[in-house]
Amino acid sequence: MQNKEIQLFQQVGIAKAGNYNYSEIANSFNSTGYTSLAGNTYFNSIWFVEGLAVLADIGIGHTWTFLNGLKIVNIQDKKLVFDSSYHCRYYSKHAVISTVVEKVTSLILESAAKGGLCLNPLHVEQKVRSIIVNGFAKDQRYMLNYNTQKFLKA
Amino acid sequence: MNNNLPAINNTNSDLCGNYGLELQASYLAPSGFNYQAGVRELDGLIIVEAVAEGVGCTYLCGIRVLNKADNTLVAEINVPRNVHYSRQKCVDLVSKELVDLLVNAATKGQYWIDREAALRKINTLLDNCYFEQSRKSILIWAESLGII
Repeated sequence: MQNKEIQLFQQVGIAKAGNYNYSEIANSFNSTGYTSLAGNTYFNSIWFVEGLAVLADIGIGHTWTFLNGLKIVNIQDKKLVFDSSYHCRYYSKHAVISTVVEKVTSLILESAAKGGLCLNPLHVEQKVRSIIVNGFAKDQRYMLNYNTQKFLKA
Repeated sequence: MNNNLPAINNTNSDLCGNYGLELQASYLAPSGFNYQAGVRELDGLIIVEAVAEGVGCTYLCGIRVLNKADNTLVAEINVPRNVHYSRQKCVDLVSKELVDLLVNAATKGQYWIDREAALRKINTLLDNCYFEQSRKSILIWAESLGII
């Protein structure tokens, strides 16, 4: 990773980007794992979509893989836009994408409503889905580079 | 998933900054857990949150609420083990504790407080304190991409 790309990791709250490696199979940046005494392996995964970073806490058990937590950070202003923890929630990339689309859409609608702005939920959901799904589908090395160029110009 | 702790974590991430907390102290334990205490302000009160960050999991260790004016301890919330951290979890715990305190104090002083109204008011304050920045941020993002 280049210096600027490391800076982007720091922008989303990760001080040591060196602990993260790109996985071609998962198309995500994964942290070094830790295996507990119980034999479960824990690690963090990061995906970048346009302007947002999605950070997932993942645990691999004997039979199942679990999604333990999810955070969405706005890269531009470093603000945490969503965070949640889960208990016994099965992990799949599809589940992560669906959750991100659902939470970002509802947050936009809720924030707009609080500001007195009325939006078409279907229209917002379609646009958000297209941005998130496209971002996850693209090579994450490209997305890292793209967001670095766009948001860390200085 | 339940497991035997501890988790090893060698990173020293800006966890507090990420959650909108102002970092007060941090300690990387030999177990690998990165303990951080961060503060946020709520209308004359200071909320101190203690979190432990491991790999793939972040735990909430405890919450203290102080009076900003004279640093008096208003509430101390003991969090059971293995409670995963999320801002909503903190809001729920602080809200319940503050309402209980308020109602108890009022009862002792022979006042009457509408518990539901107090809960609504406190929840609104906490919601603004914890989530207002997130709401602004997502609207900026949505606007920049032409979603709204």
